[in-house]
Amino acid sequence: MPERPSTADLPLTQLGSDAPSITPARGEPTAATLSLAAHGLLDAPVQSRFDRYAELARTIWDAPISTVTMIDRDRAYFTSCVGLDLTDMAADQTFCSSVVHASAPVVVPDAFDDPAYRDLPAVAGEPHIRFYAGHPVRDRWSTVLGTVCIYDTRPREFTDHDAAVLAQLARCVEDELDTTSDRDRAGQVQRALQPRDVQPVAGYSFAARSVPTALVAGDALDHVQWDTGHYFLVADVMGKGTAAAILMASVRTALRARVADLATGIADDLGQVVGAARDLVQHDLEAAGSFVTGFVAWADPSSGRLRYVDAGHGLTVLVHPDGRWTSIGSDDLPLGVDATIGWTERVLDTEEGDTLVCFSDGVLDVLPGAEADPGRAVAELVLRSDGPDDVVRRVGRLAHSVPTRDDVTILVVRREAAGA
Amino acid sequence: MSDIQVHRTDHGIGVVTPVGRLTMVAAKPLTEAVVALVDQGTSKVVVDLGETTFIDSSGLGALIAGLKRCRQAGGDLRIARPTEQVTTVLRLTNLDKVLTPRATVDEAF
Repeated sequence: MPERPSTADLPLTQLGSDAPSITPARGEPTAATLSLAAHGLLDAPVQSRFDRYAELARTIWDAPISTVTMIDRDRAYFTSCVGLDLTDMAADQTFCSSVVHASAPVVVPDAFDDPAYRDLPAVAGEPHIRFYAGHPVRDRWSTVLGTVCIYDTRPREFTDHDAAVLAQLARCVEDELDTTSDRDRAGQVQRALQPRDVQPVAGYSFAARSVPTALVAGDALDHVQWDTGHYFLVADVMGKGTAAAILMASVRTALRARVADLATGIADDLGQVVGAARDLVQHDLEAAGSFVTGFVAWADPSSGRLRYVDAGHGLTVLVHPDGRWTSIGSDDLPLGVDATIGWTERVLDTEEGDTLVCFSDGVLDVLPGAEADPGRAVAELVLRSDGPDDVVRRVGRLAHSVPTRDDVTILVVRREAAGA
Repeated sequence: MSDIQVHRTDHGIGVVTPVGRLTMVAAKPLTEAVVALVDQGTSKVVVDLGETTFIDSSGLGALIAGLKRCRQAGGDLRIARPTEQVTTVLRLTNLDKVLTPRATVDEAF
């Protein structure tokens, strides 16, 4: 592509820093390509999350067209394009490639007068662009990935003040690149960690769901099936969001690893299993100043017997088919409070028709009446619902319709009545 | 909104009073208030919860962190006058076993 010394980037050059361009060996991906891939922009070049910045640019400068453009080698992708219907084109036919080559802002007051630009297809042909202002969008290692820019079909002036505003808008786009793609991926990973594809167990129906209040949850939901029984977990780490999710991931793994000892006969007491898991995470929880409440259970489907530890969770209810209910709890503490305490395994024998509901305190926020009397509110919900799937669906709907302060997690297991 | 008030009694007991909602917003100032008291040599601390209208897990976390800090310094952290919602949350999590509620601030030590 020809060099295009812009006639009008004079007041702006000082805003751009000349990042050293690293020329990769033949066939090797460029730093920009690697970075675009890491930000998920090669797989999905058009992303509506950038539209608000393009719209904002159009509003600020009352311009007919604005784009957020990413450039991968010889191709320009209009990640967001408002005012024109375009997804991608050859990079050397765009204004934006000049910004990338200069690694600095570029302003073209009137492209008709500028030999470097007047032959571009969008200048010589429709929509006859005359004005362009673009600012580099960089990743956090200063590699220029693309631009944020405005276009007009009439010539314009662009002041130092305009340049400063455009530079700030570019910073917003850069933040969007990092934070949102990072959080989206965290959310995807956490959803992938949720128990899925649970094999049906004769005589039982089962449903569970966790709805995070932020993009990731500090609640944990787990279910693992062994030949010897089923392990399940509902737990809530103090706090919410990413910080809570990091801690919860390690607590969930520690519990699962120690429960495997129970499944394979190395351990025979669920209280000791929780104690052994605590030994693995106590230091981390203390360092983070956090603790975790949880209902840890081991179920034998053939007998209907549930062995459980309630670590300060207190939010499990067994609903009987006649509408009575039993709150399941203990006086054991959460994990992380004390390095020396132990937990006691308890036993619950379920009958046919019983429904076990275990939930996090986010449910208290969204289920009417639950804050005052969780057992009654949950029992009433179970009785008016059509099985575990329906209970979970209703709570999921509430979690999305009521403004919640906390993650909402619920697990429901029904032991079917014989002949049902 | 919440607010943390701190004073020392004539008997050298630190009294910390969180006013309003004790959630993530107030948790940090509460922990900092307790740490400051301990660093100044006051390791017996009462958290007066009489003005606390609501507590969540972050608030509980701050109380537990404060308790650990006081005990490390050879003292203790006790809670007084919890409201109904606070009592319920403490009972639900069984944390009333390590943070036994006292009826008044004076009875705490």
